[in-house]
Amino acid sequence: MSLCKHFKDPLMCLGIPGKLVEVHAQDDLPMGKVEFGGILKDVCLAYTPEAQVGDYVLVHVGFAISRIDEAEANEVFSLLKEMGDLSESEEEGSGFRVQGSALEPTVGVAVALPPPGIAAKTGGGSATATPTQPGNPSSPDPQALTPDP
Amino acid sequence: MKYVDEYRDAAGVRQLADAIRAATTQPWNIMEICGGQTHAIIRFGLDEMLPREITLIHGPGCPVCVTPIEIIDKAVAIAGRPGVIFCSFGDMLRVPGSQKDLFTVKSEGGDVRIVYSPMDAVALARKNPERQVVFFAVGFETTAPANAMAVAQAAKLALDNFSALVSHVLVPPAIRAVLSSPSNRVQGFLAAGHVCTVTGVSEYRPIAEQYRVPIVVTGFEPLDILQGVLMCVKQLEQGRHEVENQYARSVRLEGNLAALRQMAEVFQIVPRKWRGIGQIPASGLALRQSYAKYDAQRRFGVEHITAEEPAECIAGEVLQGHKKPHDCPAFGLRCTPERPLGAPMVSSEGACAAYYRYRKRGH
Repeated sequence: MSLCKHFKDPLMCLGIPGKLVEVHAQDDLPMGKVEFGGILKDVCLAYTPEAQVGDYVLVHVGFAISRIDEAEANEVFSLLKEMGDLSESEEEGSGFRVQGSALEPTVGVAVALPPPGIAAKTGGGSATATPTQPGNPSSPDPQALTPDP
Repeated sequence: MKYVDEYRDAAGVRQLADAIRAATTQPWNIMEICGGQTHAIIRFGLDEMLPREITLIHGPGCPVCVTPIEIIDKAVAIAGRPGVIFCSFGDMLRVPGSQKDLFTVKSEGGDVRIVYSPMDAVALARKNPERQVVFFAVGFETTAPANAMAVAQAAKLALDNFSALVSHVLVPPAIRAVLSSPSNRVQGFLAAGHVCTVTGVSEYRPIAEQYRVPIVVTGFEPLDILQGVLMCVKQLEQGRHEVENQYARSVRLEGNLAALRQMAEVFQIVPRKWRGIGQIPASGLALRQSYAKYDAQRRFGVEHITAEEPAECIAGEVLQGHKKPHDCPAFGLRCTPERPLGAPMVSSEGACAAYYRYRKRGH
């Protein structure tokens, strides 16, 4: 993703995490400066009153809509580590070519397809329980968005 | 970039793909709702990493794609009026209307400006009191809080030269429409992580129960999408149909209450026509009566404009997952990003554009 391109030709459909580096008020609205890989943008913090300088926030069209929860952010990596510890399949993998350690877009890259059919189950190789969110939290007033009478 | 790059780790992607393969014992069709997810899947070839038993079906979560053609025509009509500064997110500029798009209006001399945030439009209205500033307020629930704030601010500042052309759409009614269709093949969903960041999951539980489909709220990076698929496949294999949250680093189950409150103050739920799909009840947002004076359709008298889609465009079939872009006879020939017949070919999140860019020929 090219940030320069995004901020020059902004799209509504991109939500990007950035670091809150400064807060101030403007016209009674809480505002902040958020840093995205070197680029600083003014962001409205009205919807993330809990965000403090140093936190990461998710920004869509100039508004922070959530504060990134660092513990939750690390969950998938704990899961992967558990899976890696259980499994011996270091070398098989699914047969696609990668460049360096980060996944690259497939344009112009020949992607070797995974072997057809379902691979034989390895003993104990599947992941442990994935994170779930049980419970029934209170939801906002269901009448809230109903049409005007 | 933190919270982005690490979710593209190739080794992690490979591990999750292997786990999905190990978990899969029969064919499953899973729909990813959001155009941003479709784009990531095609761009990184994530569907090709899955066992062939898993079919990913692209959903209607592209707000640019589903904005009704007559709204584009209304935007074009307003933007062409003298003295108007028409502000829009960049994605909307090349969406074809019946005659032309906003980019053409701009090239013909109209004052059409791309803005990053709806608050930029409010600022423009303050700076240019002698001009009418109109903001094109589109999107799903993700952008609704921002757009609501812009209208609320305009009202607070008593800006009589600001108005909004509103055409918001809501996701849960679209999911119900997909599931109610007689040709539906979708058995599980990856819900849109940023929509749910705003709305929470309360409206998805009744859908999961009523239609007995698992719904996994999922992010947008490769690890997110594959973990979401893994969680969905496990539910399907176990016969469960619950709402789960893969994107917990951003999504709280109750959603963003401050954002929902602001939306409820400014907007009301209305029936909405989805481009290519047709009218879906209670599926859109419009300004409440109390904010009627900021409604650009009223201010500029364009409420009466109606339009028909070009016959050859099968966007509706693509958006509901009944067809793939390659199934369209016009794909890549009479319909390209430079000269699109419909919206999914021009939107950055549209399925047709993603296929055109990353997967020109069938695979």
